[in-house]
Amino acid sequence: MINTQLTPSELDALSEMGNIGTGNAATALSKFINKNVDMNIPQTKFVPLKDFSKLVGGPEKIIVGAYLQISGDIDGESLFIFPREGALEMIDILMGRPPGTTKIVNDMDESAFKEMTNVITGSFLNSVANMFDVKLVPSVPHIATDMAQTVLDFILIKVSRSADSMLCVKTMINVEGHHIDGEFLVLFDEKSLKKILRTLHQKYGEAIR
Amino acid sequence: MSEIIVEMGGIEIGRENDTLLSLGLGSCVGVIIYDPIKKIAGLAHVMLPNSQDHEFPVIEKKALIADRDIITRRQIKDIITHDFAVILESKEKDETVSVYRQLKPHMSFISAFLPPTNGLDAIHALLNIDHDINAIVLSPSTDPSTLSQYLSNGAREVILAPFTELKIKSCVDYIIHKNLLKFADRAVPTIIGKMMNSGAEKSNLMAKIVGGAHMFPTLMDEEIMNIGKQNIEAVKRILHEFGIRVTSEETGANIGRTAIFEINTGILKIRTKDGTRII
Repeated sequence: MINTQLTPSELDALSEMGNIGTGNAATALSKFINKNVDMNIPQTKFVPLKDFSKLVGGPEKIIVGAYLQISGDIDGESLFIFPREGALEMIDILMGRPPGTTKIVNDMDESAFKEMTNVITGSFLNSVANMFDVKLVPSVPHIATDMAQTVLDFILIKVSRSADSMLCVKTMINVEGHHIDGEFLVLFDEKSLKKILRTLHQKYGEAIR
Repeated sequence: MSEIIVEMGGIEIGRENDTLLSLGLGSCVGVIIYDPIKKIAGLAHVMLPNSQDHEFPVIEKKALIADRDIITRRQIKDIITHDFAVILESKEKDETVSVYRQLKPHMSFISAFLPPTNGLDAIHALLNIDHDINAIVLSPSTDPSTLSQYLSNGAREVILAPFTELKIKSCVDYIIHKNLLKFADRAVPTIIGKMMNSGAEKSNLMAKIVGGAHMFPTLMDEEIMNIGKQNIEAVKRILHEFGIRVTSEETGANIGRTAIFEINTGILKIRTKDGTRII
């Protein structure tokens, strides 16, 4: 999708969607782990494909990626990214361990981590679905721990057939006392993005020009 | 000694004392083609197998061919005819300048011997009109000082006679079709053509392949699972078509890899999250 196809107010409206979504996700996560959770106001912008890995710390930075596919009325994918240390911190919090305990992730840890991504993505998508009156169903999450560029590239490959950049909603998670650098990339394909924009215009008409 | 990092979907050529790197190959494939005798190598960070699958809008491009010899002009025109909507020709400097002004081509092929003086003068004249003239010099000379003279005076690239399809098309792809270099079937010939423009010999060429993994092993989506495998197969098929032997390969599985190729020694190192080793 070409950058210039979105007007500044359309981009703003998508940012607002990201904002509401992450707000709900933070609340859901908060209830799930019984701690205060804050999610930064997301940045919604077009990022050139070759610069994506810089967003998350560089092409060789070891990250944990939780990938899931979104289907229903709108198709897309989401990739929830933590630097490896951040993921381990998150697991410490989830499993009620003193920070710094978890060094190697066992099956139960991975399960809890996946469940957390389910909670976050589920509530994010729910609020988007409500906002647009559509049905969105997330798949089961899949986890990979490796260099950032290697975890990102299969998604970038898909987009690269027709575009040089991709829309991404980037936010960060703050769990009380623990600043955990997590990035939530939500990717919509061109058809779905057009659908979303059409609905935005229908619902919010004049406000978006 | 310089490190050349090839970005995703890109191609770079290096010489003796250079190291070519591709950082973080997941489902993408890093293809290294090297001439161990001339110490010239190229690396492509391939993302997809086949450029026929692309969905980029086609933008009409224009080219200018400036050479006193009609046979050379025809030869070049035949090679590039499918890449450009408009191709105009000129025989000497003043004509070249006026055609350029009217056409504003995306690429200009300029003979080193363009009358009344030489190609260098023509390039200077064109640079007075535009910054980016994308001038490609067609030269019979292999003298390195001539080559560097052109390159430091505004030429994007110098193509040495004979002006084969491989050499010409690699230039066109590298400059005009940058967004197609992510496809294996465009990347491989472009590396070969550019290497030959730098003096490599086709009969010396060998290759190494890295990557094409499936990074989410629990993800059973066929389309996604096959991306890495398809990239590997496409790269191998095209190398085979060009008669280039693959001397080593580190591909598949579920691990991400960085490829590091030292042109001097011909050594390929693979860096993963678990460490670095030589293959």
